[in-house]
Amino acid sequence: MATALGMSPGRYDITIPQRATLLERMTLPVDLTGCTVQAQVWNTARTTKLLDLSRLTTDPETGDALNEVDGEILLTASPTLTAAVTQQGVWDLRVVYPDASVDYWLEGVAYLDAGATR
Amino acid sequence: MTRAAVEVIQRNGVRVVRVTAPGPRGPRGAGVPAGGTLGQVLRRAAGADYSTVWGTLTPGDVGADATGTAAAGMAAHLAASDPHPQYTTPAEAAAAAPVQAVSLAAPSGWSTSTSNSGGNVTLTLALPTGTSLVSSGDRVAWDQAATTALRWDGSATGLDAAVGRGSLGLGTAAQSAASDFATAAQGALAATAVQPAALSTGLAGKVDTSDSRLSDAREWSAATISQADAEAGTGIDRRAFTAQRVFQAIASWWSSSAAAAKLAGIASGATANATDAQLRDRATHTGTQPVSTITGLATVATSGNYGDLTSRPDPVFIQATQPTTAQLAGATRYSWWDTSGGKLTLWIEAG
Repeated sequence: MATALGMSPGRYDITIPQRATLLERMTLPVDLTGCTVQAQVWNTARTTKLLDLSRLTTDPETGDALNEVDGEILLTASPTLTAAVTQQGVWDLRVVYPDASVDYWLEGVAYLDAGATR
Repeated sequence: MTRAAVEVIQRNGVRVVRVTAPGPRGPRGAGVPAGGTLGQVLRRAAGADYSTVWGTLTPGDVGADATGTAAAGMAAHLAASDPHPQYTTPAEAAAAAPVQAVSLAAPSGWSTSTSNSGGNVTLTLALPTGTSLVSSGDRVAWDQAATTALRWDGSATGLDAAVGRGSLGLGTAAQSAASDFATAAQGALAATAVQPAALSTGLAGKVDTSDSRLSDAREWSAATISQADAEAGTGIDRRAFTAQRVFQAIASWWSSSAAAAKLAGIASGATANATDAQLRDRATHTGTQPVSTITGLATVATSGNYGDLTSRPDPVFIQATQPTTAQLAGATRYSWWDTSGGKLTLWIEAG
């Protein structure tokens, strides 16, 4: 797996807060205008998809629109979705460009924070 | 193959994962030569690129005199006896510039400064911040203002009441006697008096005895209405009615009224000089009326025959002798009795 620039994805591990909202802000060194951004969490054996992360266009904390040109990405998963995750897995971030080329920019372990309060 | 670089930064207090894509790896650098000692610097050794060598900097390398040169010069200068011929002596300075000290006492709030440029001393006296010298025009204005003030406070004559009043934007009331104005008591009465607006509402539509319309003949001198308008009765303009026009208007209304139609239905010569009760009382009717003028009467009314009766009852004869045939005409049953033979016999037979 490699980026269009001939690089392998950067390593970044995430933690899924079970029963809480997952928010991950990141910037990529590419113009994301017209691109499709996908991020999924699969079990370690990569046989079962555990979670689909959604991409927001507006920062819910500041109300500001994300700057696609500067590669800003905000991934999120609702408490309902994170509650359904019961095991840690692996994840990656895929960008599909308007010309249909694909880059995997990030990959890593998706740890699970089970929390305590229910 | 290199990985995309990942770093976690804080942007405006928010955690952000920043991914960067380093450029392609460049050629291996030439590096620096091994060796050298503490304090030495890397310097170019030859004209070729990357030709460097460790070496010690000398004063000449940085444009300085050799070590000890400046110290020797200073020592020689200090060792020379005064006066040094290259310097001005106090006497020479006094002769050249007799004024040795100048001071300037500034009023409170003013500021002073001194500058000396090549022996040209400049003393500067500055006005307090926010102030400036008075111009000649200002002085004239101030004099005029002072004079005017004196006139106002009575220290000088020449105050024109009308001009002053105009300057203050006062009306002519300012020059009127106090008796020209209402007293406080009068003002209080005015404040509680019925206001014009209330009078306008209360008297709306009312005419008082002085209303000109009561005596103004013009109110009654409108043009005489035409016969057509009088009869139509639909005009809205004020018009005078003559007796004739009034009659015409009434006649027009009467001609189409229900009352006229009712009267029209009464025959000429009809009388109604008694009450309805009187008119309907047959006892008041006199004279005779031949039966022939009456319609609807049954035949028996004029014939008097029993046979002309309709729904006549069967005649029953109860007598001591048997009735004759003539007596039984039209009868269906009859009865009679006799006492012959010393006994009473009752006969009932059909006719």
